[in-house]
Amino acid sequence: MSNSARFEELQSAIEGPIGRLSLPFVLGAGFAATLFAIGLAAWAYQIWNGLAVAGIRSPTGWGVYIADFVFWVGVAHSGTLISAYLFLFRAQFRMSFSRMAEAMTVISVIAANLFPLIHLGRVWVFYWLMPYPNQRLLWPNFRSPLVWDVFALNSYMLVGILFLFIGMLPDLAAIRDRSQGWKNTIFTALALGWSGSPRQKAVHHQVYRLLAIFGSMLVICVSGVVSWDFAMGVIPGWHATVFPVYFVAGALFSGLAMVLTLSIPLRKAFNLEKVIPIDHFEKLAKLIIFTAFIVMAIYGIEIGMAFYSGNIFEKSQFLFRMTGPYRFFYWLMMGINVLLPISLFVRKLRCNLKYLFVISILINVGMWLERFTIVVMSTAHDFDPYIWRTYQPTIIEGLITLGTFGLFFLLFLLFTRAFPVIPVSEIIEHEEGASPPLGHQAPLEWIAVGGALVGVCVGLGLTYSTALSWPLITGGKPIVSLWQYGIVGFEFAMLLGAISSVVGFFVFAGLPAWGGKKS
Amino acid sequence: MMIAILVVALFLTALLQGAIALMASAELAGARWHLPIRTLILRLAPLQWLGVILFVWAGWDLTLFPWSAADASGWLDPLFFRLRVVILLSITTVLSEMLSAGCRKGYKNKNGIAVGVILFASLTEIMAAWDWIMSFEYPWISTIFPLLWVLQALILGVAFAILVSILGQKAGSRETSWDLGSLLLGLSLFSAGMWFAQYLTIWFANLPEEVVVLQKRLEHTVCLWGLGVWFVCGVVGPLGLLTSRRLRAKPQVLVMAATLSFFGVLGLLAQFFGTLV
Repeated sequence: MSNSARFEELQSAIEGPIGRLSLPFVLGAGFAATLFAIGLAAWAYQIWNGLAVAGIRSPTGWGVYIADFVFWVGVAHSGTLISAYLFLFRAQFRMSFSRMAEAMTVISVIAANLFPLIHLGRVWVFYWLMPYPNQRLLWPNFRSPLVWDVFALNSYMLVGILFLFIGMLPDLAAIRDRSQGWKNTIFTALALGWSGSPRQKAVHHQVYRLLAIFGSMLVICVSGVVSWDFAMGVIPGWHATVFPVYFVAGALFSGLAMVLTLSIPLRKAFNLEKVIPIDHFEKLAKLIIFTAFIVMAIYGIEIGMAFYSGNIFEKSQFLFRMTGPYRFFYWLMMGINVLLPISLFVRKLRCNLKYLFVISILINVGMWLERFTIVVMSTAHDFDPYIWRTYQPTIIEGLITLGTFGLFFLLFLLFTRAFPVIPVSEIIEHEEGASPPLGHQAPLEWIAVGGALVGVCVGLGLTYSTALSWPLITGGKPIVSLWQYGIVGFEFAMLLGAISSVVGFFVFAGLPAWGGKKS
Repeated sequence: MMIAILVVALFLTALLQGAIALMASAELAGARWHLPIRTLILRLAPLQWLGVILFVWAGWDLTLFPWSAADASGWLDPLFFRLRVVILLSITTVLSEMLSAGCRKGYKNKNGIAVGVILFASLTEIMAAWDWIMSFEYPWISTIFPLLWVLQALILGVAFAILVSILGQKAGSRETSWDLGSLLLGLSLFSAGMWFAQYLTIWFANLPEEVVVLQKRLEHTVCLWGLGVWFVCGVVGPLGLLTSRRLRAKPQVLVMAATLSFFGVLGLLAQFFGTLV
């Protein structure tokens, strides 16, 4: 098949569903929207009546909401794994899933970002987290991992949006060139005048790679910071140095499973059998085995260390998990996360899409339970037996959780009908064996480094100056310390590095240019 | 003397197991980049028996370990302590030799053997870190430490693969070296991240039983030098040499980065055991 015919075939397969409504889509989106509406109603009920309608009581101050938050952050991470890491290592099978994974990243970060607000109770005071001079003379406490988290997650969301949009530009332009009417108007605006000139292609390759690097670094940072929300507390079951790696591995494990959950039905619905062959799913299944092994190793290390250390609180915590009132959930989690992935060693099973679909859903359940185990079981059984208590989520917490699943699937379904779900231009370029045009590169790397350095200065400047302007000692920590503030500096460096790369890309690619030539 | 034997045993097994596990992973992934160097690296599998001998030798005298003064039993029973790494290492060695034969003769079940190699190599390194390094500071525990050591084994393995492919002129292509360089850079940065994560968690919690281990090392000259060597050779070196894509494609630069990585891991060991000097 000639390249142009192949392009036509792929483009038609991807472009066909855009803007069209089919019955399965309407039913799916309607169901997801209903779940979301129920979740919103439950949240409104909670705002009206106060947080007491949730099951959160001392000592379990962080219940299902925070478990949900960590779960969605985890799902968000595999977008970067599939798209960015595999891009940096030139693994070609990533192209089958990269666009879906990037969209999934952005959508799940949106879902995750809701939970700190939901858990806040009085959501209207969320702006207290923002660093601005005010009459209370208070600043966010930059020594707290919770504040690092706010900055990390929002930086990740912004970089995720940039990564998704910049990656889509050539495909948006291709749809613009082939469409008419309202579709053409919308895609003309979205394509920003992309013409596909050698210069634009060369700079596009550069900026995509840079965003992949910044995204990859941010994934590690976000996972680390979310894990420190727990590990910095000295509660048994939380205070473990392995938590950053644990959270990265768990995030990748659950995120990969979610990519399978989304891509298997999508492949069927969009007739993408030729675009996403079975062996690409097999490779994804192998990655799941790999991440499952890391997760298993960490489970083993955590339990082993609890007993080896001789620390009675740690030992008691792990015995509580295994034999206490939550033991069913603990062993279910172990069964799903430890035993189930082993079945993927059988080639027949990892090439069976129905089996993969079922296992991917189960892994998501298992990983949600893992977050529940970490968040809830540790606080329900900490140092003091006097306050031990079994936390039970209420119906409101359940409905809000379901609501965010509704939001996630609704936004993803809308994405599939609004944007190309496969990077057609990249696939064609790869099949043609085309390399980035030489001699057209711009000094984007230097611009990115410059932006990152400015980011470090902004991050450190913000943390140091606010700490010094209100020198309040919290947690016995020094007023200023590079160890803590360096994290905020790093987050700003990644964010401004990514933004400056994109600005540089626009300048050197001559974008936006209204209209644009045919690509 | 015993500590020198222990350091050699840890370094040698980490290097060999890292390199062999890397080949096993490439085999499982169906990669082709490793084919020019696979045979040579897998042929080194029997050298792991030397590691077994060294661990047996190092285990002769356990007085270096603070828990040995007490009447240790159970998990720290001296015989069980000596045996477990030796058994795991022996199993890995046998499996590595089977993988080597399987690759040469085209066994059908070589992927199954490769899984076994990765599994047992990881277990051996986790156990080596747990028993032979961490218990040196008993009862200090750090759950990330075994994984940090597994990562050092991988770094050594990748660095060794780079040296074999370039110095042995077995490089498949410029892209192979480029990819190995990227991997070395990624692992080095991840290693720095892990060390930082461990440090920050301990620093933040400020628990006396944890802080004392870091404090001792930051105040001891040899440990501080070890830490410095690790940071310069294991983090700054690869970062400076391998970040640029142009530099990363140059064999001399890759050789330099790989050699520095060896010193980086040695620095990390010196940082831990330096208190004895």
